[in-house]
Amino acid sequence: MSVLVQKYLFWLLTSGRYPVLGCILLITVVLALFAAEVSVEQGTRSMSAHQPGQLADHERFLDLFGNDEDLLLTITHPQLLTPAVLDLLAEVTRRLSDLEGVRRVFSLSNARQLVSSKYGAEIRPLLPSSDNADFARVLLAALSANPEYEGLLISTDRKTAGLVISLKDQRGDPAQRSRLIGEVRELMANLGDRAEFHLTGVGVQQSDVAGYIQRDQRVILPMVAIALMVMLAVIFRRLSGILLPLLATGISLIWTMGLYVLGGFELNTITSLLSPVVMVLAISNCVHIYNGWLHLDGADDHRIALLVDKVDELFVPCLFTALTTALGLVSLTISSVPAVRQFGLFAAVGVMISFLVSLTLVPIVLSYLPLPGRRYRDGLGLLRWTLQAIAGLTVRHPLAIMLVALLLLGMALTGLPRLENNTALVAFLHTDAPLAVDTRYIDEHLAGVNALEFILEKQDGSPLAELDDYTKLVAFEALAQHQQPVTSVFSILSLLRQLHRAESGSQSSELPADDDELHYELDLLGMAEDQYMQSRFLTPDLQTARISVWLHDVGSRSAAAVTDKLLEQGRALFGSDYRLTPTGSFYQMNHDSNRLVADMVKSFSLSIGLVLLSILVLLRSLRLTLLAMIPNVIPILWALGLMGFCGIDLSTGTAMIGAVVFGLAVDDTIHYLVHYRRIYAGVAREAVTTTTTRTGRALMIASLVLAVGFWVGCFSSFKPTVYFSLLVGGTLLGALICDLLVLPACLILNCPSRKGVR
Amino acid sequence: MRIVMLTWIGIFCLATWSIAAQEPGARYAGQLDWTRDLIVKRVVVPSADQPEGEVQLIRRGDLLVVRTLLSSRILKRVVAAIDSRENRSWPETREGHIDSLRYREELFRATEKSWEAFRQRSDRNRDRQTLAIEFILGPNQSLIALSLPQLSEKGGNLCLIDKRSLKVWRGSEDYVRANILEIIKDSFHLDDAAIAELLKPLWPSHKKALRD
Repeated sequence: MSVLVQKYLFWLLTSGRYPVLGCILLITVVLALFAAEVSVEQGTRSMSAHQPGQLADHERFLDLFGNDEDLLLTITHPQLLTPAVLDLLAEVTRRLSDLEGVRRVFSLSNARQLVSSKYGAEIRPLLPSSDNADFARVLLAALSANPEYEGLLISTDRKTAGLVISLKDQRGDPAQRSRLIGEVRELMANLGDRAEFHLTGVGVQQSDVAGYIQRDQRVILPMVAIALMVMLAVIFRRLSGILLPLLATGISLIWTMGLYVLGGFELNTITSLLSPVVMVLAISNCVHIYNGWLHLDGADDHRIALLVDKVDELFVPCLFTALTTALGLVSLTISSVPAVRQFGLFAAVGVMISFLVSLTLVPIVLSYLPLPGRRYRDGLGLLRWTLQAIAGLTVRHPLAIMLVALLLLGMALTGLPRLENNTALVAFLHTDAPLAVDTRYIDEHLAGVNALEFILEKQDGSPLAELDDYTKLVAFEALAQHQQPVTSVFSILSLLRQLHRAESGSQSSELPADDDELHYELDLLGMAEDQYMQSRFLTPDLQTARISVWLHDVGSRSAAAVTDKLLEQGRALFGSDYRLTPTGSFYQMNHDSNRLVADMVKSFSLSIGLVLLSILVLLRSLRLTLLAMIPNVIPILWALGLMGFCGIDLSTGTAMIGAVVFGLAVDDTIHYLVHYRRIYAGVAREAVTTTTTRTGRALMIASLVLAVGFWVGCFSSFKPTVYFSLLVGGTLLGALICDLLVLPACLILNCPSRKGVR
Repeated sequence: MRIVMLTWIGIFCLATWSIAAQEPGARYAGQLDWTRDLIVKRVVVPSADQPEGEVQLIRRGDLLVVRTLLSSRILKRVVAAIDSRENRSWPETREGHIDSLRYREELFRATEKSWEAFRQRSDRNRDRQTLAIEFILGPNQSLIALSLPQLSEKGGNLCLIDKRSLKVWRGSEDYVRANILEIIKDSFHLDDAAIAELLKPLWPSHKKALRD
């Protein structure tokens, strides 16, 4: 293989230079045209696991009941229930209703109440006329008589009014929703001096997330480039040492993003990480090759031959490090979340592209440059001294090093049980983000911001027209009301109770007494001129009922627990004649999040398996392969333990850490072990000392560059990205420490005699 | 003398009791005898798409009858609409207002009885409540009758099988005549000339009705 590589490299650095450069230029220009067209997904489609049954349920739900992504707007004013402020509420309601894409706006200003009359219920406006002399008393009486509006249209302190903005079903045009939200916010800004406004809802969350992704792309990418530039300048102190890795990184990024767009994908919360991650990962091989070139020693006339030898020497470790990193990332493709799959696949593609570019473009450009002087070969004094000290430490105290590592590991393991699986879209944002502020506000003042949707129907498809159906629904409603994060339950029952109270002239909210009354009242509902309210909760054929269980802004962990409990108890309550199906955007997000741990364990196991297999192929030694595991698993467990202690949840972003880091961290181990095996002559301590001092410099540089590159992600708008960046960077440094301390200690402890390794 | 007085009182009470014990309408059995009915014109109301009843123009001997057969799942609401229209048509200032008030009151009671009868029905598959309203006009006759009909449906039309009288009373002739014309006008969507043409063979004194 080495002969083949040498022949290829010789051709590449002589007659192949111009054709290869031309090809790289052409491909880069073409793919740059595609990469420039990268767009941002306006919804959370790719964040949902594609489970046909679940998707079909949600589609059917949307077909039957329309969009479930209502926007919630609140108006707060100390004198809310005065005619002047209620006029403002009416104005906002009217202006919102006029916006394109709005199906209906429901607020106190257009809410109706059913009052008793000679012939039964009569519909009247909830608000009295503003010229009513007894306005305040009549209004308060109306609100007290209609408690179902509390939490939805008015807060308990009567200072915040809620407006529920129902959107038209625009499954095919998510950009319309973003435009609409922009218009709503403009209206809020224009009227901001007259009252306090807040806006939230699943639609706003999704739209804002898309905006934050775009912002991150604009901010993080240049910051990563600057960070890498600074790191390269500090480490190499040569212009070519800065420009060449950046050039190779830039080309790798353009190719990857070009292919991503060609694949028909859009950026989402997870793949927004793709660009910075590819940039950071792509730098690693460049650093090793450039560092190798810096160490070339010989006459300038022989620079091509020397370069061929050096690149040949680095070819196999670079190939395998790229391969292991890519395999670690590829293991994410077994995830059920499309966004994670896309990230894993294209990050792996990016790594392999960077290997290709690093092994072609970088040697070609270096072949034009004169060999560096001795000053660069010797490297930085402090770094050299540090590496010698580390080597000395490992040789003298291998057992102590192992004990300290195991002690830290033991401490980390105690943090593992504290890890919790939880995804909350709003909690992903920084606490001062406008959406987070608005959501918290509305959550505190009204009946929560998220709704778990349930569909209830009979197994035989018959209509829900018996009193027994509704009695069971009442029991389910009571069951749901008693769950901790549940704030309110909305179903056809609230309308039916209102109607029955007005029909019977009773003061209390009760259900009809018998089937005849029920049928009569269901008929009344079905024949009402305005079908908006009942159509939200019951289909006209009475076959399907919707139950909306509203929750406080809790994460997926609490929501999933409530869903499971309600589903289990609900199914027992309704019995086998009924079908109770959870659905809706919020349910889907929770359900997907719950699969994360299982996905993560599978991805991590696959990552370990694939990486170990490739190391085994490379080293052809089971003992060294198993030893290679130790310095890589330890830092990952440290990171996970730290997450547990710091209360960082496993979410869509942080769950990827294990699989990504393992493939990446093992790179240093491969470089170390390849060099160790090459120079090992029977005495492990000597081989360890030499390897640490010679390869340590490249390992430290590569790891530092990678860590700093990842840490730039701390400036992201999303907390999971911040945690991901922080922990990946930290884990890489942990892996470096383990590679320079724990791995040598293991090698010394496992190979004290003169037994050969080969 | 005292014995004679007591005997007369006894006879009076017995007579009153026997009249009161009669089925409502027994006094007007001849005018209410629907077996003689000849249906001249009929229409489903309010529309064929959403049928809640049928208005029939009937010749009953020498009487002109406008009968509204209601068969609705939401009878109360249908009657509420009739009540509302009646209220609009007969304001306090219009002669016949008192007749209208009585009619609305009796209609409300009849609706309640219809609902009770519906709840006690033996055929649980029947899902419509029924009520029949008749405005009857003839020489020296102007009656309003409310009854609980038994109906069957044939070819999209309602057929009366039987009926139990709930209330019959005499209304002023002007009131009954005006309501008949109004119901015909609203239900059959006819103008005055067409109504005149329709009623010509049915009621010789139609000119008076039209003039009014």
